[in-house]
Amino acid sequence: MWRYIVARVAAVVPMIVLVTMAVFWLLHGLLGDPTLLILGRDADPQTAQRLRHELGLDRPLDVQYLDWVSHAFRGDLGRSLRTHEPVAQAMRERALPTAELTILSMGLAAAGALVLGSVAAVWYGSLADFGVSSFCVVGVTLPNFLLGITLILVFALTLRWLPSGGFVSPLNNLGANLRVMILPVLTLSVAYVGILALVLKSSLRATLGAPYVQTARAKGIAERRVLVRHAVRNSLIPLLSVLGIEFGRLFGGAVVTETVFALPGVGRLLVDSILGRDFPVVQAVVASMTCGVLFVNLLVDLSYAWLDPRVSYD
Amino acid sequence: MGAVADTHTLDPHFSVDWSERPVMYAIYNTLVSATPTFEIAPELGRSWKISADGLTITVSLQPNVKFHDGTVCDAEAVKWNIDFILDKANNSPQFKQLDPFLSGVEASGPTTVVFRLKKPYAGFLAAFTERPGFIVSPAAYQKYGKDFGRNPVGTGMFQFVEWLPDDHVSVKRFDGYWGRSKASLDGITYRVVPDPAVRDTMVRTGELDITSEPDPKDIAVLQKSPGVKVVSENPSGHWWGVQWRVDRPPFNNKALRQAIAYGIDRGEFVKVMLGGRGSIANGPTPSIVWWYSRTAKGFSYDPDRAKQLLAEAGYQNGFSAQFSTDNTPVGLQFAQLLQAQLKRINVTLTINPVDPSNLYQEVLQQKVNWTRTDWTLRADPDGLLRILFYTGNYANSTGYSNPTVDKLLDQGNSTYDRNARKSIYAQIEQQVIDDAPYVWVFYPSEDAPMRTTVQEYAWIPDSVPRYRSLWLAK
Repeated sequence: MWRYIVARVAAVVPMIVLVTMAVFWLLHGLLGDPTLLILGRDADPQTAQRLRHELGLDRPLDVQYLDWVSHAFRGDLGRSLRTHEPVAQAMRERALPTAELTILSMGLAAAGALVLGSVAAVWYGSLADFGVSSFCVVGVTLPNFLLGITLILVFALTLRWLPSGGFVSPLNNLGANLRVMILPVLTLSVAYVGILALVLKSSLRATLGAPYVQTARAKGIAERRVLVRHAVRNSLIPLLSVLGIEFGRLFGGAVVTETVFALPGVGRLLVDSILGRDFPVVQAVVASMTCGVLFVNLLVDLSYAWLDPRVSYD
Repeated sequence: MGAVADTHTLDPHFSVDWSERPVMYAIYNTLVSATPTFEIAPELGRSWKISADGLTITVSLQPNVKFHDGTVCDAEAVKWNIDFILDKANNSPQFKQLDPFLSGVEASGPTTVVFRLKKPYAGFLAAFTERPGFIVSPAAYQKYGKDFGRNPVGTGMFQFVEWLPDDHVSVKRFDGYWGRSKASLDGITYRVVPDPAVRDTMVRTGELDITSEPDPKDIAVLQKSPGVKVVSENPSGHWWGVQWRVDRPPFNNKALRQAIAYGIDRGEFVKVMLGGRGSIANGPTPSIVWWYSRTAKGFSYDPDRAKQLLAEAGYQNGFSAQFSTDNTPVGLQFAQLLQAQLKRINVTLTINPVDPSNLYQEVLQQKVNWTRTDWTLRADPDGLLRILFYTGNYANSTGYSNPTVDKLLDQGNSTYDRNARKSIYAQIEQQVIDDAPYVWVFYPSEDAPMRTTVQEYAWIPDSVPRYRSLWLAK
């Protein structure tokens, strides 16, 4: 198993190199250089040229890329071109809202999916199944900016129960933090509840018909115990696979949710940096998001063995 | 208050983004300030004297001014700031605004600064109402180095407290402020809320006291909401229009350019696209500034005249062309309305949507010809008119060249006589309207939704909201 983990972690390195290389060439090739955005659109050409030289943007692309890699390996992610702020600091400052938003949303989505997926599978064909399935389809298809604005209009403007946006650190005031996070977490998680619940429903339906479940029932084990101990646990593998895949997409949803609810997160930093051609920031954010997605997928793969003892990594 | 976008730096010597300026006007003072009609008013400089040859300008500073860090803001500090911008090695984006006319600056006394000019320049003081005019603490600048942009120290009514990126910047009242009128607010928090609909909602819920750039669709609702008002500037100092390369076919044909200018129904733009919240633009100068010309005559909507000019230009059967626009909802809406209007005079537009941050670069690189554009006025007529219309200027992206306009621009900025300047800029205005390197369409109104308790909000034609003098009624 350890050999497996080491091999998977080692595979992350070429993946990050490939991703950052692709991002680097796309940004520089398609979007052009950032000097006009740094100096303003009425910049004079001499100043722009001087700045381009100073930032090293007049060097060949492969030289610029290798320079970035060599610094990154030494732990120096550089400074933002626009704010002069160290990139590592910029990411650190925005990590908390994004981490909290994505973890809580995924947690809520997984918990919601477990309940709704089980209800739909156990009472398949009933009104409850119809209700859950309809909710899931609506959740998946509803754009999350629309849901976000609707939740704000209902809970912030009309009922005045919750704030419209902003962020309070949980380290300063946990109660205020949770109040602020309710609407963004609901917004982001609804689509994932839908996908995960539908996956669990179909997987659980297959399991509930399996001979070992029949055997368990024949032995007189209570239905709830059959469901929780035998059926659900064995139906979780497809759910976890989807969860791993969807985790990457979650960042995309986080960008929109952070914008609507004015959360100072990494998603907004990334979009702002792409629009501003802030290459060092984009590179670092993309590299760390890639690491995050690969890490979650590694955890998912490892959890297969825990869920199903027949899975072995040796 | 609700900010549209995060600040990237609070160092005025490196500031480019519009979103940074509202905060900077609270933390810093400029050397002089601009009034709502773009007249020049005293600020750190309390008076000024121009020498007979127009080459020396002596500015007397307010006495006993201190920076928030306790150091003195005197003539040496002002000189340090100007020298910093003029030093090419610093790559300040503000360099281009001062270098063309300023040769050097001296501190001839504790509160006397002498500016030496390369040539007489009437827009001199106006340049110091905006970014080149913000005076920072030299001591703090040396202390923080590259991190000064996150630790700003000025002489303004408010001093910096904290900046949580993408969330908020907060400032508190500076009790050692030099001016007679101190800030009435205890502090200001600039909360970054990127979505206009959410900003508008937050004003309605009272989470924000004031914001800017509302979603135009929300304005009617905001005006009807209890406890909310909308303060507008109409016309604003911000114009929208179209531009093309006048040195490249097909738009190197003046009759063709004028035909299109006659084919645009500006009233329909204001009515349909702006919902009535704006004014028709016939030229680059709105009626709110002192150099506006009452006599300048623009193009009115006249499809028959447009067709006649098209025929004169050699396009009896109309023509087709690509029109590039930013791929934002408003940019596309503009292009679609233009497409529908010009169809009436047999001009067929193919819309080419471009990423907003790329559009201007593509214009400069001449990858696109006919595009949507918009600019905001500077505090002096020479500011915008020169960069857009002077032959070969770096921001002259239309290839426009008219020796008469060049000569008039040189005359206009070399005399300090306001009446003479006004008549010169009226001539320039008429000439560029007729030559049509740009066709002006409208000035959208600038709107600031706020709680009814917010008092004394005034727009300046550069469209940068200033919040430092506001107060709240109980």
